[in-house]
Amino acid sequence: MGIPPPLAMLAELSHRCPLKCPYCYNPLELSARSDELDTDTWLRVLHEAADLGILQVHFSGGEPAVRDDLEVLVEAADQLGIYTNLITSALLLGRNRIHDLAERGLQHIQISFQDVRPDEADDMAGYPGAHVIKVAAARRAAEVGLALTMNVVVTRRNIDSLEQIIEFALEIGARRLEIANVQYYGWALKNRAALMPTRAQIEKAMIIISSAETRLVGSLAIDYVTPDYYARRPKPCMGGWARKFMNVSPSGMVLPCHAAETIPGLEFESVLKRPLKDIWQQSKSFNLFRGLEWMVEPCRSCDQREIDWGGCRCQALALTGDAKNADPACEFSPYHGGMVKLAEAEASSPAFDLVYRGYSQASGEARN
Amino acid sequence: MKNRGTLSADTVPHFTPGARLQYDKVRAAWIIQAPERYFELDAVATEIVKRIDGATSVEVIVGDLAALYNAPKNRIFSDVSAMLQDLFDKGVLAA
Repeated sequence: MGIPPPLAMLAELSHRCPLKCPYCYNPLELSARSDELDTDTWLRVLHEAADLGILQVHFSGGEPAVRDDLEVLVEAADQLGIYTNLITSALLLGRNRIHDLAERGLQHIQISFQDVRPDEADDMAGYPGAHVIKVAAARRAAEVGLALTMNVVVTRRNIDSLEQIIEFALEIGARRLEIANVQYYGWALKNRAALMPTRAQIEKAMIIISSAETRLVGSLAIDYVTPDYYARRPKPCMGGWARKFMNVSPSGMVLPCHAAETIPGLEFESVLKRPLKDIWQQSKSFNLFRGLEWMVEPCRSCDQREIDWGGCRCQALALTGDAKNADPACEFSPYHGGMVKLAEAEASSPAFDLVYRGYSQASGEARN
Repeated sequence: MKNRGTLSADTVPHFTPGARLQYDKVRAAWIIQAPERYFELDAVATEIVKRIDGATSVEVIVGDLAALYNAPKNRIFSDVSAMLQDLFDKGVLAA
């Protein structure tokens, strides 16, 4: 048996973005424009992706629409038979651009919303006026026949508006709503104390979501990314390391997940040096946590090991010091109790100041 | 729940925006692609889904398949409607 082909690729076209969200999943060291892959290289990567068996490409970033070749890349992917998604802030998508992308074969657009209350949303995005631009873009996307997902990252500040968020998704014509608890690494880890919801907030949210899921079957699909810190079992992060998914960074590094560069000692390979297929099948970083061989206890003998694949490697590293350990979101991890206490303490802390993402702060931090 | 319980012989299903049927040559299988997911179809499911074009009713699809598989219409209808209801619930199809 060979290694099964990946299903999806996250194509991070650029780390540049007009927004400054303090929970951004981009690395603290953002790639500069001058390091970004050129159009021809991306076109070659898309060809290689189609040959490898990738079914869906998610054009993302940063903000993918900062690049004026987005339309060309979407069209090329579509002609290769790849299903195209655009993950966007929608800040740089005027009426014509959305229409043009749909004409060129874009299937699905996922627009991030920071809140449904305009002032709070703009404050979290670090961009006055962002919310109204997003609303207009979402309506336009639904109007031109694109499948629309509304994405909201939930934190202590906005999770009490969940019912309004669900109503708002229906109102703007979304058929899918992603409600994502923050994944605490990178920028979000810096801001954890200011973002962490309380246990009571999470419990209330679960009730609202489960009732909405039943009520809205067939008209709104709700995808809820559970809060690791209050979980009993970890998420099957990325569907398991190097099982389904690959990420190509703006500079062409091929990663098993978008945060994989936080794990020290891993050497990643570039699309500039090696074909995608060879990297997927042979690269050390992909094979390191692929399958079950790498696991230590409690994962190694656990009957859930092929369900959650040990959870998130990056979170295991960030909270236990070793990426091979079970994700401490798991109740069987010896670090689980500490993680829960930490969440509860931070959720009740008065911390309110946010560190917004950006290039200057990133390089400042890197010197610490 | 507006899509639930409405499936009948007269229903004319169509794909919702962003959902489509395609052949995947790498896996040698027919699949439905939709936002953030895909479903691999078996041979029977493929025959059902291939007939969904926004103009053909469930009744016509059932008649067609009853002839193809030489099977009674009522049995085909229950198989087809169970499968279509599942795709309605997943948001992949609407009427």
